Amino acid sequence: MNLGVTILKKVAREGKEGKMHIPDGFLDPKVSFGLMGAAAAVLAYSVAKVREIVTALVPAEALATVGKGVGSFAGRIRRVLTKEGEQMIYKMGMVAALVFAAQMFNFPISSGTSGHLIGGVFAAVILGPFAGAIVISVVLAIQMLFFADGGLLAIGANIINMAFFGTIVAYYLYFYLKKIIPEWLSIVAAAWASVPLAAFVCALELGFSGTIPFDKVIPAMVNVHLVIGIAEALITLALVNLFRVLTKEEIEA
Amino acid sequence: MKKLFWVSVAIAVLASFFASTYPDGLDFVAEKFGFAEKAQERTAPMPGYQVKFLPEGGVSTSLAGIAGVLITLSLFWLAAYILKGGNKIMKRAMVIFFLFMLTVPVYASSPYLYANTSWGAMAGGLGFDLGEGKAVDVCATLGSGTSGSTYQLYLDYFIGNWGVGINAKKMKVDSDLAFDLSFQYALEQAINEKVVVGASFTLVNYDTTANADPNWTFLPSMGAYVKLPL
Repeated sequence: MNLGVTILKKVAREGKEGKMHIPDGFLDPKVSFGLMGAAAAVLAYSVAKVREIVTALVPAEALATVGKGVGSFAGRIRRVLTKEGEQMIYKMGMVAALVFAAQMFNFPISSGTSGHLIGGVFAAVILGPFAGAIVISVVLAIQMLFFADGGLLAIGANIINMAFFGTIVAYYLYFYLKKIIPEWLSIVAAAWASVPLAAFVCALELGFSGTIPFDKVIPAMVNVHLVIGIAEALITLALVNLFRVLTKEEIEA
Repeated sequence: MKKLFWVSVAIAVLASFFASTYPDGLDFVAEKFGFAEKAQERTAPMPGYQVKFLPEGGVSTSLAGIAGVLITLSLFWLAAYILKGGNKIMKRAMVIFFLFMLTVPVYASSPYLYANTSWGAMAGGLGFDLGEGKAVDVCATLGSGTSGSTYQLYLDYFIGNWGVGINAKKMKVDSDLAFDLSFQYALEQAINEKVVVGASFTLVNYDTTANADPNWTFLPSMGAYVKLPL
């Protein structure tokens, strides 16, 4: 039995470890649980926003002919998943699968490091910030549960870093940049900035946990990820264009 | 959409052959400043994007990648199916299947039916109806939290849909300050169109430095549960 456990631990150690995914043990329990609460709030808000998009209010009388739907009864009005909403959920799944696959690419960076995609900006540009945040969170949860990538207690921190700062905050950067510079350039800029931003927040969390002093971890994390961000920007631009070409989506002005 | 599916499968397959073996950004910093060993190891069905029974490398990672793409897609399709409404029995079966899927990491992560530093707890138990909306659940679980494997015994007392539990937990402690958070869902409730969802919580202050071989210890823990309609 012990031999089996030893082998398992060996497998877990030798496998490629989480990337910007914080493992368990790096964060103080107080920080972990605080961030879990924050992540739950972000997700609850995102789900509420997406629910507004994918469902429509239908009077109860009309439902007699429409059939079964989902949602709560509020007076005589009910929320039902629309046809477009259903397509939206399929699209979210497709984006999540692409992000998952793309995150497996570990590209080498100078000085013996490697980086990988976060995909937050890609998901947000295609789906909007809140659906994008849900997609990234689901990918993080699947990586945590099935692939031992990122910690269970650190899931809150990972969602805040990558799904909130790397997706929602970076999306608004893209959104406002889009008004003054060409769209492709604002995708590049937002995708590039999202990586050091997430890394900066990650460094703050490590600092607050007392794992490592702030003055050491912040420059180290941000410097490495400034370089990784370049690859993120290029891959994001390629993925967005690929997605738009393949789904023939009109680019919004 | 079909094309995109094949694109993501292709990316997942290709990624395994191009993946760099260098440590990534966070690992690099952790190694540089010497806190890399603080990371607690977890295991899962496919730890480190490797299928366990295959030799480490390209094919193993490719298969794990394809599995990941399929899991991700099916989750959203499941969500769309459940939200659409449809057959009530199918809907219930889907929810049970979804809960079962969450427990898969526990079974698959170890050949010994319990997980070493993984996630979740699978419960089997009996509910006793005491009348007046009160019930007692006795429930045994195999599983694990973040800090070690556990065997647990639950005694939960329900008033209406809300319950509190006292659990006895035999647990292997791997770190000196371990939080064990496990989720319980007692599927016997599914028959009554209810599923019990809850979390139990153990705070262990256990000095592993004083004890070179962390033992299996009995620990008390507290839990809170709610019965949700299926």
